Amino acid sequence: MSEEELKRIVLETLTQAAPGSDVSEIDPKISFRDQIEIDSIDFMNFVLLLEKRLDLKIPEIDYPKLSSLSGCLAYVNSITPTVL
Amino acid sequence: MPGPIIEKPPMQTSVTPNLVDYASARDAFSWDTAAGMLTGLPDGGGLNIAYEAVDRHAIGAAANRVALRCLRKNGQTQEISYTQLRDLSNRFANVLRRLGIGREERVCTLAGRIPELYVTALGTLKNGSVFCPLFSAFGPEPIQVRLARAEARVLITTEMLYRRKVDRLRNALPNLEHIIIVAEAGRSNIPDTLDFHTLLSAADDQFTIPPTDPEAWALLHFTSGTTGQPKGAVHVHAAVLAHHVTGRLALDLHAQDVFWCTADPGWVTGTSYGIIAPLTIGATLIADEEEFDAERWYRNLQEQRVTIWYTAPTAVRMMMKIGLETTKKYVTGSLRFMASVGEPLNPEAVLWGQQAFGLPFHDNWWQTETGGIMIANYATMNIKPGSMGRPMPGIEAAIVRRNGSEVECVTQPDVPGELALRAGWPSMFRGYLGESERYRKCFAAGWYLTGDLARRDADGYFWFIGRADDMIKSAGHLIGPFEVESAFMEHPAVAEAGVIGIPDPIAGEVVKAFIALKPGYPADDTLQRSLLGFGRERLGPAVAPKALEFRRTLPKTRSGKIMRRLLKAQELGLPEGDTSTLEEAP
Repeated sequence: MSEEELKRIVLETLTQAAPGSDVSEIDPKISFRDQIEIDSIDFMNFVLLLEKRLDLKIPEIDYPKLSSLSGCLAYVNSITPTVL
Repeated sequence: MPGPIIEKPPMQTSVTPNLVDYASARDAFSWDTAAGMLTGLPDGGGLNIAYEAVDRHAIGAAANRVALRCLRKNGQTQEISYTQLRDLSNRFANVLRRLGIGREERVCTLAGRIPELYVTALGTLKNGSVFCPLFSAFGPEPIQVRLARAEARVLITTEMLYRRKVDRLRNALPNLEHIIIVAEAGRSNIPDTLDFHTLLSAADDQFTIPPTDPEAWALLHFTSGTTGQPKGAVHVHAAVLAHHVTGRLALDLHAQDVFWCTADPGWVTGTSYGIIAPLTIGATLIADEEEFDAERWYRNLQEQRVTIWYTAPTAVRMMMKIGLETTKKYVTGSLRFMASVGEPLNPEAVLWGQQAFGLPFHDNWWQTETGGIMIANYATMNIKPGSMGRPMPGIEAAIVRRNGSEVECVTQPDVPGELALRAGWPSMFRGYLGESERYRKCFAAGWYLTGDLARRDADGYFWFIGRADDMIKSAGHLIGPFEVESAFMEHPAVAEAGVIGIPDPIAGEVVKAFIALKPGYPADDTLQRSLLGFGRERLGPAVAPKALEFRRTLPKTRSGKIMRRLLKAQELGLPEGDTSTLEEAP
């Protein structure tokens, strides 16, 4: 999977967990929470949906690593280097 | 019946608890005697919350103690001593005076846990105006409704929140004369607004609090109703006595404590215990600007050497999910007492506290209307996990049945009924803003009727059963279905909307909407997604539904009222009960 493809999946999953959010101008380095309106339940749903979508098991302790787009890419890459 | 009782050995900590023995403390207690713990304004000038919280400490032994330690988003820690907090809130009181904001006029905030919020709250109270905090995760619609109902003349908010949510509302809020902006950095230059720090630095740091009647309005907290728009519960300066007493007895707060209340000041807990109670006791208050993150919270407990921690079931359950390995990485031995509020804390979570921290969580119960903790588990009292505990000294609680205008007290143990409190404690709300009839209906025969169903066991412990109405409790926030349904009714595709809470393992309940569409609109995934987005945009993520289902029609009574109870029964597979008043079968 290319980095672009993974980015698209992450952002799609984000809008699935928080419908109506405008993710077109997400700054990859800034946390999602500081750019769009999501609460902790939305964020948890986002990670659970991402787990399903990428067929990964993400332990709760790692959730904060997924709080930004760059964080998601780096995390997914670190646990499944073959994805990227 | 729930699991084992957690027995409390006598004097288990190095600090002598404020409440050593529940029964004798309750017998000996009187509000009149307790009032001696407060100072009162100089020269018999009455009672002002901000004076009790700040000024009396600034001229006493706690003058240089840290009153507020703010953990900022940028990683910095900002400390404000009692003396500094007095001077800063004096400045803000002078700002309000210069703007011509008078007694009992409403000053609203829409901001996260930033130092300026605390300065605003206390300065507003000093000026005799009414502090009304709004939750920053609200969408524009709940914000507009609350600002309009409050008839707010001033709003303090941040640059980001202004641009996202307030800017578009200005024309609809003619009473809102001044918007004061806290800039991200430096000064704000948004047109037609004022800059917080420019005003503050130009203001005098001397301010004499004018004589304050203890019955003068001080706080306005909006709470959702099952029908109609949100209600503005008004509290008076006299409430500070209950804040102080409950802080001491239910949370065991001492002046030497480092206290962390994780609630947002946009809700009543974040004001009564996130600002007022710990300050009246002279403790150090921790305010974390960041949102929930389990590891960050463990780090806060360790690094800030928190001694008393007041949090919410949703957060506790999220921390439980991370597992005990993480807990063990952190040193949280400074903790002496942990409490939880917002919704009943399940017995597993109470016990998990013991595994993770060597201390149980102490659940307590109260409402926006009660202004402070009413029923609690105390440091020295045995805990029955899952119970909300026993009534505060000075509070008479009962299980009652309404019978027209009569109220019948249920005396047998373990019989469900409505939880009621004998009216007249200091932090009892004094009205719903502009709605005297709605207020009157909350009382009967000298009791305040809480709308919560509960039972009392033979030992006098109270157990929460559920709401008597359709209110939804999600992540500790009370959400009114009517407000959510009204927002959806403004969408062109929506013919009918019914909103209920469905059980959720983490949040307690989450909001679910049932929608019947107008002819010509397809009930497909695209529209479902778009409606969920519409709800979030209007209401904000804390209030908007997390789930949405289309129905051809919604069950209604013959008078056309949507039967939420039936929607819920269908959703949960419960018996549907009496459906004889149904308009048509769903």
